[in-house]
Amino acid sequence: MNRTVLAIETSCDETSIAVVRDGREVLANVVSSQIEIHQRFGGVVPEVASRAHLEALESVLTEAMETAGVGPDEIDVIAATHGPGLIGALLMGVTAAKTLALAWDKPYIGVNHMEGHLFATVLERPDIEFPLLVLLVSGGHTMLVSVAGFGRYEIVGRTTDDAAGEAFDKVARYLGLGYPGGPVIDRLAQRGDPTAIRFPRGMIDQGLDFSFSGMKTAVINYVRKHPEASDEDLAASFQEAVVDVLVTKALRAAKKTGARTICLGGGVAANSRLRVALAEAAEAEGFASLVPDRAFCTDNAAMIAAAAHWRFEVDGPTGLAGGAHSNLTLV
Amino acid sequence: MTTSTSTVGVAVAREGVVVASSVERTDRGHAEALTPALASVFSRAGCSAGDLDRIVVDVGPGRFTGMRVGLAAVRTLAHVTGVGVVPVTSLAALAVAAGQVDGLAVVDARRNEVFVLGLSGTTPTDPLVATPAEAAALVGPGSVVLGDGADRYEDLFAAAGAEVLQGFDPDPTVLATWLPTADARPGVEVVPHYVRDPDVQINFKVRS
Repeated sequence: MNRTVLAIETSCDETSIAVVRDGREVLANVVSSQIEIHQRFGGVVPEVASRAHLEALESVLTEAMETAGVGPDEIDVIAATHGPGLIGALLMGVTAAKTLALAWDKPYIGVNHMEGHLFATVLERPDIEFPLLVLLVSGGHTMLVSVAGFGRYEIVGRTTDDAAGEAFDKVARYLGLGYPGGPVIDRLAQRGDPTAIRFPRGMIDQGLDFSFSGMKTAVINYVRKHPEASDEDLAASFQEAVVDVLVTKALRAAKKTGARTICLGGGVAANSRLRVALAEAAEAEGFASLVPDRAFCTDNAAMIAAAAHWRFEVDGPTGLAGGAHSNLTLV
Repeated sequence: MTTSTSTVGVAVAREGVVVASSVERTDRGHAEALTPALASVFSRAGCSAGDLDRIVVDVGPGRFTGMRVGLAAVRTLAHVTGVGVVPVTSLAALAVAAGQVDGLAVVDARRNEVFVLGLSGTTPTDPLVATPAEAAALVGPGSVVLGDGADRYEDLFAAAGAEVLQGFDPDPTVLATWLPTADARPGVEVVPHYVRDPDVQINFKVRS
């Protein structure tokens, strides 16, 4: 059925509001980033993030409604990310969404942030064929998800220690490159030699789980022994090692689960080398690949609206007593 | 509306008379409790968000997450209805409820600190952060203390000779009937009265 969803995403350090029609037509997807606020602390500070979400919500809402060119009468459902994420941050989006639902007399639905990331792929290719294998990589998560259909997920691999994005942040912090680490390393790596240093590929030959902690430590140990090593070569070599592991395991998982298409999602999916390497490796092995636009990889409310569209049809509204759940799991 | 303590309170008044109210105690469930309370109070008062002429909200000081949940709701309501908002501190709301007496309104600030405000005729006249012992030194026999900070450090205040009025949190019916002449402002200008910086910023200042 025709349905227009307004969704709010505030699980970490982006305040985002989107308006999406029928789960696929993005009328607006406004993202206000707090990166500059958190930069001086070298990472996202939960209390600071919550304060910034509260201050940003009205202007992001105004911009989303104006961009979408819709009024309250044309919105059918209000959604918000209700987990996983920073609890104080999640509560800002959830409270604003529930209050909008009350004021406009619309149903409210809480959405799982990770399910949103899975739906980022559907946003771009509504006709996509299941089963899919999705590699979800961000600052908080690294997992391989087998998607048999809408709502039918199985996590077939996950990190046993750091998330991939966390490893990027920690290496960047150690090298004094600033925060967030992903984009900085990506940029430096483009001028470095990815074969300069052979960093270990954690658990690359075993199963579908990941380990990035040892790879991060290997960089630190290398720099201690070779203080003259260039940041560009370190960045390129470390990035190559991480991408190698991610791509190898994604292909292994696709073969094991019988998926025909491999998709990429999450903030680390914005990494240039990962985007190219995954597409090339998938093609070489006879898989289709889908690498969504960067705007739909990093945290955004459009993917939450897309997930809400389908969830609402299956589960109906969450109700105004809904809360936030910092440790919400996908399955 | 008040959410800065463990009380989630909502009331609607018409011509200065409270027509519906809801008071609920919660440790961490402010967001879960607040929206249904708003819906229930609107329904019993026979009104909707669009009928409001102004909103009076407790802006703290108090629990950071609690007061932010209240303000996220109030600012959203104000944003979509255009109604003006009157910010009232949690301490001022307590002081008005206490009436014309000497003493202190005391809100628990956690980490062995309290937010305090002098009641009628006593100091301090602006909210400040103090240790419970410093706050207790401000009162004596004949003084009254109230608020969740007074409850928590009852022994200290009682030892100083003050009378502790137990179980007082900011009351939504006091807010709903707040001075009609108080200035209302756009919701976006109504911010939490944190008084204390996030710990990370305090540490950051100490380091630099």
